[in-house]
Amino acid sequence: MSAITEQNKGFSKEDEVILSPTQQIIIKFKNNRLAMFGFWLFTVIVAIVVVTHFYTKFTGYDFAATDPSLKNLPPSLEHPFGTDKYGRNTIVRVLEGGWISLQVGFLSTIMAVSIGVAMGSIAGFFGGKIDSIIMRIAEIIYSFPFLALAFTISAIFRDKPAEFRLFVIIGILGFITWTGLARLVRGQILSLKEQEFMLATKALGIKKRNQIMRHLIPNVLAMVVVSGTLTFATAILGEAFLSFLGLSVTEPIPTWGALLAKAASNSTSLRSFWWIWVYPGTMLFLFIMSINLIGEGLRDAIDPKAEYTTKEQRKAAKERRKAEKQAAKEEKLVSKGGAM
Amino acid sequence: MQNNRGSKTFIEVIMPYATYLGKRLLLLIPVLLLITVVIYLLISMMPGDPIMAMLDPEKTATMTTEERNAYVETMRAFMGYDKHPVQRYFIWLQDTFFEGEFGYSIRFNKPVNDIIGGYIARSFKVNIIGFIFAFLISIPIGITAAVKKNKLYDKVVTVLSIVGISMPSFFLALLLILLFVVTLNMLPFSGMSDPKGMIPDWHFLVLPVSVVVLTSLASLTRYVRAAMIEVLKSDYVRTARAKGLTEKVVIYKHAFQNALIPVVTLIGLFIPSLFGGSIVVEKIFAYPGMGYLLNQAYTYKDRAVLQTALLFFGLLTLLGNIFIDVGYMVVDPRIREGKVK
Repeated sequence: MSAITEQNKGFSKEDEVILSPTQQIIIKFKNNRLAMFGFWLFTVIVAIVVVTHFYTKFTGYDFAATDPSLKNLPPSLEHPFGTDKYGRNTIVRVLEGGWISLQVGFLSTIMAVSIGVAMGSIAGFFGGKIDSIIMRIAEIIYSFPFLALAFTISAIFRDKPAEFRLFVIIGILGFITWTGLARLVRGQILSLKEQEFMLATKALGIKKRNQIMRHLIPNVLAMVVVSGTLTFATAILGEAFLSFLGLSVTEPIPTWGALLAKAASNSTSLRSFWWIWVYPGTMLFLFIMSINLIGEGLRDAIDPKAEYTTKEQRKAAKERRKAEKQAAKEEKLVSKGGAM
Repeated sequence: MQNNRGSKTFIEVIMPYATYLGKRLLLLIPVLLLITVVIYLLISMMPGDPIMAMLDPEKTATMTTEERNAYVETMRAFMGYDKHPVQRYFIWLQDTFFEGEFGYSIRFNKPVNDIIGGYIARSFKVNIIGFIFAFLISIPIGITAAVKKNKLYDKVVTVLSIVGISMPSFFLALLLILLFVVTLNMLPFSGMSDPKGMIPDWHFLVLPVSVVVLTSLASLTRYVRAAMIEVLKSDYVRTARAKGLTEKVVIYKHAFQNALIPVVTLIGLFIPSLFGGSIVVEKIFAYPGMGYLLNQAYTYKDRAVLQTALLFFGLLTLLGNIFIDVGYMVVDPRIREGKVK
């Protein structure tokens, strides 16, 4: 087996296939086991959360319904994650809790990415005064402590309905996280601007808007995607922080942070009813980890210098090691036999 | 260090840094002013009447309506709420920056100056211990991981650091409580000292400090590893190897010192949390630091404390950014040449 792969390394028709950068990125990503693990974990969690959300929506599941006879039951077959102090089924609440996180994560990331890319490319492209104004604004926003600011803003809107507060939080998160992306995009565009293809666009008389939109932004897109995944993780963590402090959406709508906060609110639930907070915490942790794994995998995948090993190569290496071990063993046996 | 600066006197060496620092500090002023405007607007948009929140119900219960109204008016004048909001903003600015008076806390019934110092000091205590531990652990781990890149050790470190950065600090804190307080019964639950004096004070510090260490460890290790990998790729490391130096000397004498350059400036990123603490962690452990104070001020709508705390956080972040830039300039000659002309 190993001999065949060694041979193929030399030259064959397969090597002549020309791959586009996107195809290369996909191949690299697919061959990164950790990233693929993160990808599947992410897909499974999102699928479960979305299915639960629409299932409970269409069957009219009442999240406020209480049942005193089922109070604080430990996990069992009927209630896999146990029940809380109002007798509500925790598993449904945990799975539904992800819906808020998903919404906040997606919407605020879209917001942060669009503001960040727009601001960063404008600042990088035009330079001079526009650049320094935009970057100064970004610095001011950046120097705001995120949690403290979000804290105060959601305190202002405390009396408003839950849906409104959800959008306020999405707004805050999106508004605060764009600065890092803007800096990144600006830096990239500053160096791209000096390259020859941009000179060509100028010589061809292409409009400035199209220079940015068609020629500069596609070149930074891969990096934006990587940075966007990290923004996504930050946004979800930020929402969890806020709902942990009771500043996000409130009861009876469950969120992972709020479910965790129940444990911290008094020591009895923390000590005796671990199932109420361990499951949402684990879900939150797994979800953020899956996003980070995907981000890490994408970062490696877009790096043209990063090495990767395909499944066949790994298999070959494994077999080679096995064969070596076997050979060493046999040698040992032979030498032992000889000694005897 | 001395030889490449020739025969310059101390003043000549320090001057470019001082002018650069001065320039940055001057630029800080407009940014800080804008931050004060935002903070002031946000705080004044908060619902509720601060004077009503401040009233002592036992004191006002026996009063007649007129007496009560008069009392409220005197309180209002005392707190400065009888003036126009714009005027109040300038009074606040003047008090804060020129007289060092941060206002009057309605929760503690004391000037903010009297209480804030203790909270900052307590946050600082937990965080400085935590960061020292985190640096001491992460630097060797990050460097060995970079040296053994793509080996099993490196892969384990990478996976663990991803686990670490994905762990929400409050979940980690709760898990630690479950393990050490509930199951093993080794440490106290929360607070910062035992009223009976049975448990030594440092027992209360163990869990908050561990959370600080564990949460900052992962990102620090990743940072050190990335910096070290970058340095190991550079030409002078290849030169050092080509000279026939042993791997140990190459790594610890040539590469390690330069990999520390970005790491040292990381301190700048940690300055805000160093003094500011963490709202969530301090809430869980009921540890009276700045985060706890902010949380309390929010619950009690204590505007003076909120304003001061937010301004403090903002100023720390700005100073941290300056620290990073100046730090880079001090340790990295390439940036030094670019900025000082």
